[in-house]
Amino acid sequence: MPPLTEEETKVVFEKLANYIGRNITFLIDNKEDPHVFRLQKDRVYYVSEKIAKFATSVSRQNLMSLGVCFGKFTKTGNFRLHITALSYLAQYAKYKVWIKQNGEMPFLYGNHVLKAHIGKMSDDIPEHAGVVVYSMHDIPLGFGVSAKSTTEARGLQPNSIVAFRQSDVGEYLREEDTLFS
Amino acid sequence: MVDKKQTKSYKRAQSTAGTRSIESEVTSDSQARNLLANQPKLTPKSKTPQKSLKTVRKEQKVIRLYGKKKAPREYTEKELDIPKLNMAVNPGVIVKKSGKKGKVFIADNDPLVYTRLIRQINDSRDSINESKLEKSRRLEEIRELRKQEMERKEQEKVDKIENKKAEIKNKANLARANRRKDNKGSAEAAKPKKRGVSFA
Repeated sequence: MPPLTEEETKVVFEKLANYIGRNITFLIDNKEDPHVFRLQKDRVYYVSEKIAKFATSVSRQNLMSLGVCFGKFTKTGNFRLHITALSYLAQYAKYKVWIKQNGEMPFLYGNHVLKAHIGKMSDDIPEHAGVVVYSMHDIPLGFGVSAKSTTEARGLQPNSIVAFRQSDVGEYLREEDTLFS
Repeated sequence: MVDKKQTKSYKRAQSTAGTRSIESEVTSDSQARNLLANQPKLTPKSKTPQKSLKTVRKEQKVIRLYGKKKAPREYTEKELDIPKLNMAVNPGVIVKKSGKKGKVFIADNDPLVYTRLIRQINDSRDSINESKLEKSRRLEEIRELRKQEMERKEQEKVDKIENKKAEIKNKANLARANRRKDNKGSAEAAKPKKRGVSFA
């Protein structure tokens, strides 16, 4: 189970930087419990160093998963974030959108975030920036990409899209069979 | 006063002033010369000055006394062992690369590489309104990180060589010490036992 090369790290960090910006530093600088990135097949895992060392005793074919899966490399060499990374994205998110209760279920079924469902949102969101979606009780529900900047979103119609969904916690059920294999 | 060059006599003299040299055909024409019974100038004069009789005699005398000096030997190209093609000569041992080189992983918790990556990525993302000074400072920081990485790599190389050197040196030292010890041991063993006398 190898660590990442510089190129791979760059691709992963570029994706992560969409959502958490410079807070990636906190993922790497963890003095009490240092974490590392590991590549297993095409998936990237974020693991405590201790567990990564334990994992060396399991052969590669038999190792299904360890730590938190951040996402996977596509065949074309891009990186796709998985919903499993949400806990870290939510913790360090740069731009946030909170949706009202009436918007929770539509979002969890895989729809985009509509203006009508928005409870509140960060002030300084630019266009096409990564946003993390929360319920009004601050429970992270997923993440997406902003369709409009905050100022532009204020003047939108109620049925227009504010954020394009990338991933939501509903995937734990919908993609159950492919998410962890 | 009339110019001298304008006079008729001067002009006539100038027009008829050409000289003609007469050379006999016997000397200028080689075919004609061959027909002569006496051919005194057929062999051209040698360009090198002829040795005087005195010097020739002296040389002959020296040869008779000490023998003739050998002319320095001229080697043929085969004898000189010149490479057949004009190829470049490798300076020293060149190790050929072979096989796959493999990926180069980032070491876990390598702060230099990670901080550089994070900075580079985020700098390109954030559209910051900054002055030239600020920008140059920001770029300088990244450059500094790169420099440190490079220095570290160099240091690793040097360390590797030094370690190997020390290892070889130690090996030799150890071997020498062992040899000495062995020699000492054998010398003691080789000492003849003092013969004692025992009385019954």
